[in-house]
Order: sequence, then C-alpha cells, then structure tokens
Amino acid sequence: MNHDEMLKRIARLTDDVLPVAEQADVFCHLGECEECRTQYMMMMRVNRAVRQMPVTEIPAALDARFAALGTVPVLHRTVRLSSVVLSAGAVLMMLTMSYLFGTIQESQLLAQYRSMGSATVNTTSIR
Amino acid sequence: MTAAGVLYSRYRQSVYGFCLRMLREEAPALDAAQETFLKMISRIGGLNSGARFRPWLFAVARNEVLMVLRKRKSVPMDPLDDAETVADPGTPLRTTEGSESSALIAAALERLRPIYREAFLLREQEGMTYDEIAVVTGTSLSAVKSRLFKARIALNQLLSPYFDTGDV
Repeated sequence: MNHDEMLKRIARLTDDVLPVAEQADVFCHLGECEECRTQYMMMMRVNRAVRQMPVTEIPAALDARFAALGTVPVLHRTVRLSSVVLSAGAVLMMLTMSYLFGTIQESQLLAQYRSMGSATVNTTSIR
Repeated sequence: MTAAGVLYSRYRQSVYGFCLRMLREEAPALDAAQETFLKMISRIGGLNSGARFRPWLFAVARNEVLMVLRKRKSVPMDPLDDAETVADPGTPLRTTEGSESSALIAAALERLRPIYREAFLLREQEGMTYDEIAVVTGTSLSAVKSRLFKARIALNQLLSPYFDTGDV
C-alpha cells in the first residue's frame, strides 16, 4: 500500500468511518511510520479543536426578521434578556409603589384615626 | 408555535453558523440564513416525504451561500475550477495573543476553498454522514470522501506550525 492510500485510511480512521477489519493494519503502520503518526495526531488534534469551537452567536436581527413574518415567536436571547430586565424593573417599581402607597395609607390611616379618636376607621380606601 | 417555528428554532443556530463560516461576514451570512428559512417556509410543502429534512435544508442554505460567493467572484466553487488547490496560500495564520485552538481553526478554515470547507464543516460541525454531505453538495460519495481527505491534509499543513501533537 502506498503512502497516499495509507493517509486516506488514517483520515477515515480519525473520522470513525474506517472498517474495523482495516484498522489493525493502520495502527501497525502508525507504530512504524513517524510521518504518518504525526499526520494522524494532527488530524485528531484538529478534529478535537473543531468540536470545541464556541457556538456562533446569532444576531438578534435573524429572529426579529422571522418574528416579523408572524410564523415564529421572538426567541433571541437579547429579547429574552430585555424581557427579564423589563420584568425586574416592573417588579421593582411595584414594590416601590406598594411601599410608598402603603406608607401614605399608613400615614393617612393614622391621621384619620387620630382625628376620629377611637371611632371607626374608613378602610374602604385602604388596600 | 407553528411547524415552521419549530423547525426554525431547531435549525437557526446551525444554519446561521454554516452560512457564517462559509461567508466569513455577518451581514451576508444573516441574509443567506434568512433566505434559507424563507425558502424553507415556501418550499417545504414540496419536500418529498422520503427525503430527510436536514440535508435538504442545508442544500438550500448552501445554494444561498453559493450565490453570494458567485457575486463576489473571488472563490471558485466549481470542482473543476482549480480543484487541486485546496487552501489559499498566504501569510501565516492571523492569531490573537494566546493563539487559542478555536481561533486558529477558524483562521485555517477560512483558507480552505469553499468546496473543501463546506464538506469539512458539514462533517465535523454538523455531524453529517457522507451520504448526507453528498446530498447537500450535490456530489458523489467518492467526491465527498476525496474533499474531506484533502481538507484534512490541508488543515494539517496549515496548523502544524501551531499545534503540538505530543498531547494527543
């Protein structure tokens, strides 16, 4: 078997498509041929590096364009992130308002209570 | 969610990633991915029931990529055109400080001619079988094997100055 043919087998070995019956010959050759061994190790290294490449960021525009078609919902993480920020802001605002509202009502309640003495307190405006 | 929405959600990442790796620029990759999904919506009704969806979708994406590359007129896609040149010759790979593997790989992939780059990406990043790659690229099984082999050898040559193989 010539060198090129062996290299093709090595490439298929690193690609997990070399039949088991042919693998023994290749491994025997790798044990003897430093050049092929280097090629084999490089291919393995490259394959591993390719599989570890980071996932491509998807531009928000892609989701936005499809959302505009009405066929898919907006999915992009930026949108989701903005939704989270908006939701957090809304919750914060509600808490602030409820605190302020509660404080005002409390002060109103106290004022009302003082003016009325121990009489009944109008609670209908207090929630 | 509509059926188109489900398919879009499932394949948006890989289709856009493929377009970006092939075209190397965000704006045309975005356009190509958009056109791919628009065509998916309009043509999916005509898809043969026995056909596998993913190779079909990537074949659509590949055609969109090809149109952009042809407009650029910078890179041959015809296998008969300069088929022996697997990678663009040039200066050493541009690497950032630290020379991370992924950056080196990306730079090396950019040097591969599109017909080799697409075969390699479909195999290694999409995990397609040789048969599926043949469907996507409209070539024979032997052509796929040959392109993958040449791509691997070219990447070895491009990356050997940077990769230490002692730890494999």
